[in-house]
Amino acid sequence: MLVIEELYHTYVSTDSEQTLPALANINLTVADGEFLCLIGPSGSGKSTLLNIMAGFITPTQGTIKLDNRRVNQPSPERGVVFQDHNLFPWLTVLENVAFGLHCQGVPRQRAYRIAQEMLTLVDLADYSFFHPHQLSGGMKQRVALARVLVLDPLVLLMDEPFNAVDPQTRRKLQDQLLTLWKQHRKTIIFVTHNVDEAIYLADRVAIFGAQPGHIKTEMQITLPRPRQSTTASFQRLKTYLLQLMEQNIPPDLPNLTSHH
Amino acid sequence: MTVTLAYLSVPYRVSTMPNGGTIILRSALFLLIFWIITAFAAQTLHGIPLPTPGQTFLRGIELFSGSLFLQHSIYTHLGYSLYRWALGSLIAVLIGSILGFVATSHIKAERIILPLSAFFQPVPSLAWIPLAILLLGLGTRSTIFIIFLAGVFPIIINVVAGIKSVPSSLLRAAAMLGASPQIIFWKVLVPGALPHTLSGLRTSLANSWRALIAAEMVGGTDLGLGYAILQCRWSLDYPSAFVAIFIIALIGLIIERGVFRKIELRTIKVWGMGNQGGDQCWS
Repeated sequence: MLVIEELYHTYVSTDSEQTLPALANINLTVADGEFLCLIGPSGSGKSTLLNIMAGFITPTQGTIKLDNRRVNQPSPERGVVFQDHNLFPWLTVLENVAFGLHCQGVPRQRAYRIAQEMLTLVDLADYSFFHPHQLSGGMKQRVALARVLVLDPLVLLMDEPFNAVDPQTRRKLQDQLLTLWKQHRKTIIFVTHNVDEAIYLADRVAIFGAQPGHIKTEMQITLPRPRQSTTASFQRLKTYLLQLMEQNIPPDLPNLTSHH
Repeated sequence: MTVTLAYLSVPYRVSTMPNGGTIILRSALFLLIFWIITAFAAQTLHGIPLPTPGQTFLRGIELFSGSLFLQHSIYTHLGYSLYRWALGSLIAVLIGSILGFVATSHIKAERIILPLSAFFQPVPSLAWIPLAILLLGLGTRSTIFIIFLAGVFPIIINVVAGIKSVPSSLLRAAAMLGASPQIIFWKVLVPGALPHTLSGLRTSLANSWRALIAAEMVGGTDLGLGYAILQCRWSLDYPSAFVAIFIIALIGLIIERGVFRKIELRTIKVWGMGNQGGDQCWS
């Protein structure tokens, strides 16, 4: 379980003249195996919060605990999939996926075998010896996912990972992620500004507001899976969430149970 | 209508790129003609016996088949030059890389190392000769010192630029995957800095090769291509000097084509990292 308590973060400029409050009073609990989406406009601190959870940034105030251990630095138990794939250009696809295993001291042959199995799981078995620049945007993000999944993390932190891919590929990647999530039951915290994507994926969404970033409200997505973005209930929920994001006062909750 | 279309229908010539071999052949032919004319003009107008291509070629064959040139074979001269170059450059690369890395890890070190490197880099290496002789006396040690000074600053500057060019997001990714400082250094910083480092190495080796030839001319040695060229004016053996000049140019070409081009094709090109400032320094 991941618990965030009374977290604040303020960016300070390098000359310490200016300060920018980025997050205020964040309280959030994420259950094991839960799929949580953080949505909100840009500048609402979603990515900052994800970077703090990853251990890349130390918060000004407040704590994050994962299974009762305090988060204070990056670790393979919190695997990050970045918006920009961030694969190592000088390593092949297989070497990129094996990188984390290599860091843990897994012998080379075994690391490559495990990495190859993981590549099969994300449908990239035939691309082991390619270099990242030879792959499409969607393929790179699958490699980025494979290189953290291979480390068997407790939590997957995903920062708008499918932004750079076209809509068709995006849906395929979302489906693939859901399949992997069902198989492995990892906790996933997924940042997006795309409401459609959040409703399609999440068990629960946390809606962020800006100036400074805060959580406006949280909401369980109870639509049965597999979800269809074309259904009326999906569309009503989408309209509702969009209103929530724009307004400060929560609108009336729509009826989600009726089907047409 | 027809008028506007007419200019489109004008057949235009697609310029075809000549291949590498043709380019080399053309420039060699140009050089040969230019050389013959100059030699002929110098002889007839001023009575100067400038070596012709034929004389140079014959002298080249003599030298390469082992005939002595200032008491030593051309191979001994070349060997000594290459030895000094390699040793001086090795020291420059080692010390330059270490200083460059130190500069990127400590901001205080960077504020000392980088401005000084930028300040001293434009100083022609020959300007250091009095200092070298004062410190190390006449001889090989001075020459090596000059080569070192010619090569070290481009290494420092480019290693710093290379390490800084590694995106911080890649360092974050490595830390997230559990990389130790050693792994981050060898598997992330070193390959990430390679494009800049290679171009620094190019500049460094080209600078020090030029500096070597010059240093050998004044550094009080009795061996080496630079020494040999300068001695030719006493023995009036100008064809040998020309042969030595060709060897110097050839060594540069071999290093560029045979070493740098190959390394780039196997690393940066395969990685899709492009050619970052890999200018031709062999001019």
